[in-house]
Amino acid sequence: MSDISNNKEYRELFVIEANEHIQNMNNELLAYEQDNAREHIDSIFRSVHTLKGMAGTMGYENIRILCKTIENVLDALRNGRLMFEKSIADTLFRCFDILNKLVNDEHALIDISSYLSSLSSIMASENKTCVVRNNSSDDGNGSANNNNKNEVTNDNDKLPTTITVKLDDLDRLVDLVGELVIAKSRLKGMVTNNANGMVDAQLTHLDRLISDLQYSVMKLRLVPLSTVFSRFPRLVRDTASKLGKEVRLEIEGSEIEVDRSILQAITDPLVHMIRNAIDHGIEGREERMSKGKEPTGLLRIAAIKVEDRISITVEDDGKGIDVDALKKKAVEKGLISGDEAERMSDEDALRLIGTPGLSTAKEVTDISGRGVGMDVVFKQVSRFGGYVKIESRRDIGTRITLYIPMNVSIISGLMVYVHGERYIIPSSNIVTTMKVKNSEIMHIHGKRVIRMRDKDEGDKIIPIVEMDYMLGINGYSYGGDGSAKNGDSSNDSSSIVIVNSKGKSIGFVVDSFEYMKEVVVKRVVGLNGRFVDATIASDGSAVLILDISQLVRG
Amino acid sequence: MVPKNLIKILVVDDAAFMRLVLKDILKNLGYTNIIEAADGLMAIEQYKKFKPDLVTMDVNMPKMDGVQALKQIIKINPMAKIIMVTAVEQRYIVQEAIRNGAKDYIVKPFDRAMVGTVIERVLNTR
Repeated sequence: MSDISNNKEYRELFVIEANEHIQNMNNELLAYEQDNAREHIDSIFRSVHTLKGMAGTMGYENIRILCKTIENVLDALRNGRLMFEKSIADTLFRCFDILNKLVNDEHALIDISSYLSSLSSIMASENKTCVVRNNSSDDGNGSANNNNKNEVTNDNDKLPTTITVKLDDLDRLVDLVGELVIAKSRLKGMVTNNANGMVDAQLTHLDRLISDLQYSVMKLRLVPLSTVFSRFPRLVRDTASKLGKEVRLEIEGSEIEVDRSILQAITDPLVHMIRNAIDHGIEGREERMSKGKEPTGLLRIAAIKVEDRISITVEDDGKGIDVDALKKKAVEKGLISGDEAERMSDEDALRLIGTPGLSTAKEVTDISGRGVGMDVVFKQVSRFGGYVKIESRRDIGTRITLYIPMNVSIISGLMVYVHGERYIIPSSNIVTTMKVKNSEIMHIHGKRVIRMRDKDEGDKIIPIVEMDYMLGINGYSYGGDGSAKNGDSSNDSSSIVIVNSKGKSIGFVVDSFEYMKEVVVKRVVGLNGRFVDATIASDGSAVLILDISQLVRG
Repeated sequence: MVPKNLIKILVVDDAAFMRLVLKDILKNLGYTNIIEAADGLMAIEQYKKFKPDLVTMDVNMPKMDGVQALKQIIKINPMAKIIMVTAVEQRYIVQEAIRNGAKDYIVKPFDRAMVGTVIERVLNTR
């Protein structure tokens, strides 16, 4: 359609004819006000209809939709379903005026939703069957598309405070801001080299402006969790009643806003987790009473925003996951050895649920209470640099938490230097950084570890490994387990970045690192498993962003 | 088969804009022999005068609408090949037109490939 809307000849003819039709609409409506003769309505209808067809051909959606809605009103008028009155004429005239604007200014940014609402309320006032109106006294079971209808039939006469923007346009804007951030860092790099106070001050100012702009633009992509959460009361009700169970649902944090792409990615996993919790977690009424529990099960969905990440918890007070059965199953399936199963902590065992081979097995679902498709949940969440935490206690319940970084397009991170090469580790994966004296590095079972102090959970032993070994960069000769000492012996301490992925922590030994407030993520297709994407450094060269979940697994 | 450029097509639409768009599509498809009419009455006159092989007929027109014009042309030539041009929601009108002798219909906004397919199909029916 774009070749048509860009065609000058088409555009000119369209404008000329469209203007004639709009003129005709005005004349005929004036005449109709005088004598109420049906032929005038017929004539207006023809003009509106023709304009609609032409606009559709040109790809002018606003005009097409407005015409279509006007047609409905005209149709109701000539069928006698609607009694003509002055207010209807007023509304129609206003619509003709806006059509006129839309026709003559191809690029006009006009929000037609208030006009659509006015037209819809005309229809609603006379004939309740011909228009869908969202009743706001809905019992809360409203489906997600109620929201959309609400926008169209909102009978509020004020101009709406929201507009609809094409996602493509928005993404273009996000890209441009991204470029701007990069351009700024380059400029900064140049200026810092030949220091000049004035330039520096101005640059700081520019820096702040761009940050604000970036924040505002990124915010445009955000949608409240309620767009998805609002579907859950109905989902829980239906699932529970199908299974003959009683479930009380508590939702918290629906007002939190997340990036659209994140919401899209976690919707299915959440639905899946909720179904599982009701199906396999929460017991039936009798079973619960025999265990001395409340007859009604509790399902809690809570979202919490902490700094630049969000956690979404799905928690039930059901029977919990049978860890022993789960281990047994994993051994049977050959996923772990019997030995491993014995040594495995409950926490690690619970993570087995995310193993593809295991989770699709129906028997496991019956035993463990969960399983089907949990691997998909894990995968979706890790795609955004997030991770899943599972906690479960027999007969107390199960809590699954998704931790997701809030912002996928512009992240903060560490620029790490390894062997003269630079890589980015996203902040969302980083636990902490530390400089450790080589004498503090301990050896356990031939592996190098360090002790990390943690106020909340006590000291932890973290395995460490050379980053260049992990990345398979040549230049060092290693024994094969990554435990070789850094060849640079003049340095008696090591820079270590401790990362966390899927609940596992590991320390990477790097040459040095540098904090990056803004890393603009550039999607790169076809990168190998260790890298997710790339960014452009201040000197203009591309720097790869490490996929920590892959590295930790590997 | 008759070469496309010898096939005479009458494009009937009150909007010059729509005629232009459809004409361009037809020309692109190789049908270069095109005549036009801006309303039903004119369509009948043009039909008598030029005896086109095919007519594309807009439904909504002043003076005489597309279905009326269709009926008149079918009276003149019961074998006339007429394709109705409609908006998506006018299915009931299409049905009326087909009962009255229309061979097929195309929907606005036009899809080039669809226009070509429909025209070829109609031309190939006896």
